[in-house]
Amino acid sequence: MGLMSRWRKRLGALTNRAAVERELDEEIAFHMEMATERFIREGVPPDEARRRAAVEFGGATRFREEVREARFFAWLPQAGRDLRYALRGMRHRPGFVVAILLTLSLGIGASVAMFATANALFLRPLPFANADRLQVLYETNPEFGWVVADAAPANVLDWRERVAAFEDIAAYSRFGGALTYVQDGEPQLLEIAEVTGNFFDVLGVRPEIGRGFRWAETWSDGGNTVILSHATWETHFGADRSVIGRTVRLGSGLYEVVGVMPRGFSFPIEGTAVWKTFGWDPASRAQTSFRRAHYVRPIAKLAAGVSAEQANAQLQVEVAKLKEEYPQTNRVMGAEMMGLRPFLLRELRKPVLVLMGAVAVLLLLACANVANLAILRALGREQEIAVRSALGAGRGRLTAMLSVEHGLLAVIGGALGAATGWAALRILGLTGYGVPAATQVAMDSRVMLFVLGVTAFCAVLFGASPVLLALRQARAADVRSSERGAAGGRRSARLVTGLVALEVALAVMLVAGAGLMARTAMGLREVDVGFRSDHVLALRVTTPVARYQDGAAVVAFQDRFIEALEATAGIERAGIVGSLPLSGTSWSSQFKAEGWPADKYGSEIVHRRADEGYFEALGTPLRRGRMMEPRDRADAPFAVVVNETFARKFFAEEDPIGKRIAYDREPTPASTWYEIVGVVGDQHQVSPGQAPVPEVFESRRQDWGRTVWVVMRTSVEPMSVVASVRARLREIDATIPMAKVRTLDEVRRESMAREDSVLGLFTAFGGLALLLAAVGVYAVAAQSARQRTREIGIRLALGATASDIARLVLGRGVVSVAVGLAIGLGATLAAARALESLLYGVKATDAGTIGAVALLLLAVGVVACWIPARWATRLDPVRSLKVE
Amino acid sequence: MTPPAPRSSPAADVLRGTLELLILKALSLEPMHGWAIAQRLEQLTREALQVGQGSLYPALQRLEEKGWVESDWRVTEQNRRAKYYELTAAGRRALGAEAKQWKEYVAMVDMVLRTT
Repeated sequence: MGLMSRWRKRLGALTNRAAVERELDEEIAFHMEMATERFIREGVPPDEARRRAAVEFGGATRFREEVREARFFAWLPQAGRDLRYALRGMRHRPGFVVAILLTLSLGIGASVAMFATANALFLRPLPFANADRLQVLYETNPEFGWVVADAAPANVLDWRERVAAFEDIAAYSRFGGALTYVQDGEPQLLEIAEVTGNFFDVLGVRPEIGRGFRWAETWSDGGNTVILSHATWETHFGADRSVIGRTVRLGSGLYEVVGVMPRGFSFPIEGTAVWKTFGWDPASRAQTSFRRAHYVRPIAKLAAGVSAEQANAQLQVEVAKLKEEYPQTNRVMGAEMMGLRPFLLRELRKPVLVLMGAVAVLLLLACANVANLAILRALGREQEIAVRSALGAGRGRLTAMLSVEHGLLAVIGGALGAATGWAALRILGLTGYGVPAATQVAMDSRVMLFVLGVTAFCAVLFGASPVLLALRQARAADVRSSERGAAGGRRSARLVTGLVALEVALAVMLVAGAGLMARTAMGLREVDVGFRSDHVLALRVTTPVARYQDGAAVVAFQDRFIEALEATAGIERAGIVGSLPLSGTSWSSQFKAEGWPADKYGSEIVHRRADEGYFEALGTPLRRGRMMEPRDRADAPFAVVVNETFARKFFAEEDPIGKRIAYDREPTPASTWYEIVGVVGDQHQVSPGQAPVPEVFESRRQDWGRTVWVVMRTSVEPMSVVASVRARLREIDATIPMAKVRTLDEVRRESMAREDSVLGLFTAFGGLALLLAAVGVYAVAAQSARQRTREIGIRLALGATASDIARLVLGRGVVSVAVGLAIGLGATLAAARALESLLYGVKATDAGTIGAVALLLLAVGVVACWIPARWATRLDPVRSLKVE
Repeated sequence: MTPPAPRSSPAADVLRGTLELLILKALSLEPMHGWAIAQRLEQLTREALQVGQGSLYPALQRLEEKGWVESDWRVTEQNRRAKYYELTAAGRRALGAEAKQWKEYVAMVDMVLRTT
């Protein structure tokens, strides 16, 4: 019989089970007939012959069972029966089932959520058609320590024209901004993103309706066009398709709407409402400022068949040429490039990888816990297994039965886990376009495969040990029953002790991670960021050109608004600043102080416009000199205030007060000079964990700006004054919208968002780990106590004290906790280095934190052991002897 | 008739393997149905070994699974339908190998028994 026909027969046997059974029956009948005939031939009467043949044939049930088991594939039809049996069993043990499913769905859910996120970040194609060919270019300046800096538009345009390896280069500004749109008489601020006309073509993204920009639209003479985000189109334009071609007023300009982007698309800035082109003046290309101001982010599309290395080589050639052509601006400017994905993920990579590791540990812990529960349950089923074995259940049948049960639990757990994970992502708002906006979190085939893999992994991990145990029990079933508890029990006890130790070890790792992140978050909260964030409200206003043509009008509006605010109940002090602290820096420059030698200059100083009200509202102290004052107006000499870092770094030897500075390395007669009138305390500009950099504050009355933040210190809950602030603004000018209303406490919290989210997840994982480990320790101690009920009874009867008994029961649990702690501490110290870069103010191997974690777990472990120990000491000796 | 040996004991395993060898040997002469195999084995062992159906049919199933025998329904000389088992080429090779192993085993045990 060939291989094929054998398989056909097997498959046939599977599909046509009744026929196979009939065949077997026929074969048996034939055998019996022959046996009967033989008895008859030997002279036995026919009836007696038939009876003898039947007796000789013996236990027909077991016989059939054995034949069936010998048959390949026989398990499949069997599985249906096992499944029904398993379901029935589950109904009878809801507690066990709930515990297992809960553990599995949490463990699998966490890992699915994490994997779906990582999948979106690292594996899924970015939602741009040309994603593989996109490279982000950035300028470098070793002299200023610029690493991934924005590029100057003129340089980008030169690269675009000269480097053949790039099919095209687009650019965007990451600073964004906002324009006022008046809808039904109500002014609204729309967040804008400025891009070059080829931006969407380079990315390979098409608007959902209408068209993308054209290259000519990059320039001011190319026509004013905008593209709307899907959300803006829906909320402000009623999802009306005829909006295409309509002219709308945004701020002071008129723009033609040419397209609407697909839902959720929000690149390069989260929450972009409107894309517009830079609208550069073609004449500006020749100006030095176009090459000096670095504020665009170029994205290049590699020409077909060109590698990133080749393109980079060509780029370097042009960069070198530009250095020679424009020594004034490009002398030390370099350029480098990076794939779009690594560029987008450069901040996220580390935390996501660390959290992936944490989630893997949690999953392992969940599996160990479930295995533990399953083993304890199997121990409780000794009787059943023994009976089944004695009744003729083959070894394969027992395995199949238990496997079906565990497989079923794992499948349900996996499904619940996938649902839990997805729900968690949805609740956290991470589905669809994710963070960053260029990635998409979706339940794709890879995530599905992961769910299947994880489920199978869990099923094997938690299913295998109880099955092995049950087989051993089945073998032991023939042995005298009194030996059962001792022999099988001891081996399973060792298994359970090992599993519990593993759980404790894994829990130590997660709780230590949570502890270190908590220390980091505490450390960041304790940092003196240079201002008081409580009771401060901030909001952004933009003064439209249409109504306020020049600086004087803008400043007059701002003065009136501040005055009105300070007259409002609940507001103590109000002021204006160009951008809020703890939210990043914008532009930086070089400067030279009057009287410095020719080769001395300062660089990498950042700027903000502000007024005295700002510093007073935030409680940032004046250290020396004077504050800027109302008299520092456009007609007065330019006055600036610097921060302490600035004074320390550039004026260590001399007094900065009264010194004049110009924002040029080599000042010319055309340079503007600013006099330093005061030194204020440092404010952290980027985040609590990042030290302040040298900063200059220009007076908002001299160096005026249309878009500013208004901040105010309130004597009441800050958000409660929003309505009166809005009323004041309306009284002055009803066409100006208020945007981004928030408290500085919120700003401060957001600046720690990364640490907080890592901490939040670690706390959740750590808490779960602690709970699972506690359950594990409790289970092992309780089982040990139950198993030795008889022994405890005898000891009590012989006069053992309660503490003797407690020690007896505590022993095994405490041993597993201790072993787990030792392993866990070792593993933590080894793994902690991965966490290092996410920490602030605490070392990854901080003895205090890790020691506290160890003590916590020890305490949890002892309590978990102590409960069953207490139960054991209260046993009634007489009754306990009757057990079993 | 031998009662089935306690399952999982080493003796059972040895018996199982031996029975398969004997069946292969019996079938090496000609295709036979189950009953005939049992009779032949009794006869060959001069009635020292009585093969219980409880062991014979599972053994036949196992052999069929391994591809060492194959079966089909034929009509006996007495004009009755019976399932006939026949050795495959693989079965014939296996018989040779198993027989060799068995002889080595017996020789080894024999040697031990004689020297001690």
